[in-house]
Amino acid sequence: MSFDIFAIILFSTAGTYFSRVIPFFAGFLDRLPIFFKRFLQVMPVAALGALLFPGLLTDFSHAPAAGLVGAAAAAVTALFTKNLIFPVLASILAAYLML
Amino acid sequence: MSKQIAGNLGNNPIKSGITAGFPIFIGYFPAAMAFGLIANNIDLTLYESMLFSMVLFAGASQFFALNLIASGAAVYEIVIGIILVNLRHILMSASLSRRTTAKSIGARLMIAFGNTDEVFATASSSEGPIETPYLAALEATAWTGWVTGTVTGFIGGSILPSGLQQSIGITLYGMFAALLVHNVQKEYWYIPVAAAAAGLNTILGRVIHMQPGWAFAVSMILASLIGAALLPKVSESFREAENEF
Repeated sequence: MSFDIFAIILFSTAGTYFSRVIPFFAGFLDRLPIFFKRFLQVMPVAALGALLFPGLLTDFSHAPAAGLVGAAAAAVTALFTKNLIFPVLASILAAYLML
Repeated sequence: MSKQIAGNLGNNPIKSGITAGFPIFIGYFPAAMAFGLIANNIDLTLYESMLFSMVLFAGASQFFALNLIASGAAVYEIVIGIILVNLRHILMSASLSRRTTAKSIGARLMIAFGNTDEVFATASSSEGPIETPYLAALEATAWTGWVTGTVTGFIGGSILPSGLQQSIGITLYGMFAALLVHNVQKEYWYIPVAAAAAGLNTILGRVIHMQPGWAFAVSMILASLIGAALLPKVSESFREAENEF
């Protein structure tokens, strides 16, 4: 196991577990300001936006259309199923056909 | 989500926890397969992928981690990104901690570990206080789906034909696009938040040439601040936490 990967797993697990466990011992955390709650709630969505762009365009600079079509295929498939494997398979298939 | 009695009417709480967790198992297994498949594709080992799923046990953030690892971001950048994405668990644990019957420190430490978005949603939909054996069984069922799916996906990735292997680079983005669609279906006002983050990340990374991990963290925080300031309300899944004070 690479040391870097091990360090990533160790520290991110510690930080994530901290978020999950601290409210069980610190009662004041259920009275957070509403602004802070909204901030925490939208954070994963903001992360998804930042993860899609510009990576989707730059990672496939040799075939940008394949990247876009693959992601679009996944997005459309996701409209019809909550299951994540079908969008993933759709994106592989679409990218395969474009490459 | 079906209304379930949280094993507090004299039924076997472990059995009802497993029953309530089964839909999560079914949902997690293919998602974790996608994680294992992508982890294999970016050259993580089977044990690294398994360890991720066994100890971090945090769906979306594991995909974020793969993306940042593949982009060559520094360890501390990746760790900060994952922790930021998972900060929202504070809200869910705060809500759960008021419903649980767990009094001992050990029981609290244990049930906190498996409090994922889906476990929280399922446990919260039950009536009355939430018994520790019920919650532990629910979490263990979800966890088993996540870990076995990871292993299955990783091994499946190794036996794919080589032509398909090439197009697998897209899977991570397919996953992000699918997760975003599922989020937007819940709350339409998420669209401008995601768009703001995408725009900011593109500008910070491509125009200002910030390090990828920092560009990611800064654009995520700025877009979340904009979203929190401008957008209407705390969503359904967190409403319980909101209502109780």
